Amino acid sequence: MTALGLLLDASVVLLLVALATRLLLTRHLFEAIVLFVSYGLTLSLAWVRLGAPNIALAEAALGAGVTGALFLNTYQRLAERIGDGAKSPLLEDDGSQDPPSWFKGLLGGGVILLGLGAGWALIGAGRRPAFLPHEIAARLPETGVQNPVTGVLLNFRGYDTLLEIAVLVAAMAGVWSLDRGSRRFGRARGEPDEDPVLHALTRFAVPVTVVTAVYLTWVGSTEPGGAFQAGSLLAGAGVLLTVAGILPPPTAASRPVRAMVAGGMAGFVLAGIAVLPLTGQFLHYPEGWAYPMILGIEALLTVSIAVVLVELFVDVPAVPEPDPALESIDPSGDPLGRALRGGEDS
Amino acid sequence: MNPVDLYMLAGIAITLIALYAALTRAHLFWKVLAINLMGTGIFLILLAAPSRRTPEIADPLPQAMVLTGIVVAVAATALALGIALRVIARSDLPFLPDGDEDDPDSPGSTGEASR
Amino acid sequence: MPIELTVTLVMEVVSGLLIVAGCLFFLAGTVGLLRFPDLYCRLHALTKADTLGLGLIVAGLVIRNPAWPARVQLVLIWMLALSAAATVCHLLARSSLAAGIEPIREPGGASAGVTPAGEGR
Repeated sequence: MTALGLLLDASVVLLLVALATRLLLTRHLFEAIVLFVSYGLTLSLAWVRLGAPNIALAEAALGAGVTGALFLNTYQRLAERIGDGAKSPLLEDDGSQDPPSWFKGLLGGGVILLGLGAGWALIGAGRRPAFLPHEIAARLPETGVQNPVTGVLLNFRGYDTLLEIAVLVAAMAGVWSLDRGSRRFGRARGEPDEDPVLHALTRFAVPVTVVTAVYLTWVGSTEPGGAFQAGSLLAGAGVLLTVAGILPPPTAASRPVRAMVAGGMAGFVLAGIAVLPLTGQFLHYPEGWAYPMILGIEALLTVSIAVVLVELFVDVPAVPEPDPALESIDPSGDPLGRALRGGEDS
Repeated sequence: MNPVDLYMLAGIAITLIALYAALTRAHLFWKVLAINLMGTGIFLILLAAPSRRTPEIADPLPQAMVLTGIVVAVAATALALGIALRVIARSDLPFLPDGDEDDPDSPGSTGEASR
Repeated sequence: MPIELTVTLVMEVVSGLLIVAGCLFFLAGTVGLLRFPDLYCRLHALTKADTLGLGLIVAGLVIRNPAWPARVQLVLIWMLALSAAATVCHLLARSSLAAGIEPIREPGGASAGVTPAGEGR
């Protein structure tokens, strides 16, 4: 059994390194994207083998699924811009802009040295027993949940998770501010997709997905699951609804969308402040309240994460046609475009 | 050899290959891909290194950190792709413009001048 | 040998056989993906073989797993994968037909003719 396990580990590791090398060195963008998705799925196998099912779930949904969809979406935009069959440096990198080979050689040598050094340091780092996992296990009952990862995320290291959702909201604001004046993705813009098969799948899959997401949020306190996995599942349902043209894509201008994006962070901060008079510390839940508070925050986070992910997918800025499009953008409505054009308006 | 060591070595290899690619590929999309992969390599090291020390109990702290990292990586990748598309919309090329070149079509140079 | 032990043994063997058979179907589907000449043949190989392969593996795991909630979850996963694979296959085939990619009609015939873009719409 251990020999079989070692064989499996060795093949997963070899596959990972081979996929990463190939996708980073290939000259064809489409090939790189397909390999990237395969890499993400192989990596989630690696997380399972390393005993981290929480991460495996997130990796499959976010690392492979959402990120891969983002790249494919971008690819589609570029392919549309170029037109059928035409060759372009956008999709086929000929390497003409790459640095000279002496630089590559030098860097390659440096990277190999760095790798040897890091390998030697980490393998030789001894096996001094760690105390932290035992400490966490011993104090887990105080967190109000039984899943240690959730306990760390929402209780011991609540600050980290708060900052994480802040990063997500900031990225959302960044993408929104890039999107001025560009057209949006999705068939909902004009003709809804009348495909009956897609509609049937959507009708069947969306309710199942919503139920599963609620279950994952709830089960996260005891077993693998939680807001991030549930949020990415919900986002999948949202993308399906948008692509099938059943729901219009959410827009930055819509107040409910903004409220849902900000809701997770706002709820988290408010919960942190609300416990101040009781415990005297930000995000220090009073005794007996930890579980309901964590569940409430997780529910808000799930919705926020789902909406942000759908938005990020739908909202990849379109590539305007080179010159006429730039002219047609109203400078007053497009501060970034104005800055890029060197502030030619007065 | 311990299987966990295998994953840690793979993490080192992937991080460094991705570092090499991020610095030698001029194409912006490969830069974004490379930085994303660099993150995953770091995650592998982050998770594998502590579980060598306590194989009997899974350490939840690095797991929580990696989980956070995956979500942040998605958001950062989306933003980076958006910015890359903006560069393409401006110059029609997927490359960063040379900063010192005084080409009116080059976003970097004119942007610097106006600020 | 006590009857209980015999039943357990038979179930183990049956489940092992089902899982191995499922893996073989996956292998066949992958070979088809790599060897078949055009998109439509590849879709045919991939979706059919993989759906059946996944079904066999799920059946093997259902026999092996004594917990009922886990069994129901496994079957649900199979049904979701089934409908998703069928839909994705249909969408891929439809959009490539719409893009003017003609399927190969005779064995060993000319390679997939690509009509000029937009003609199929």
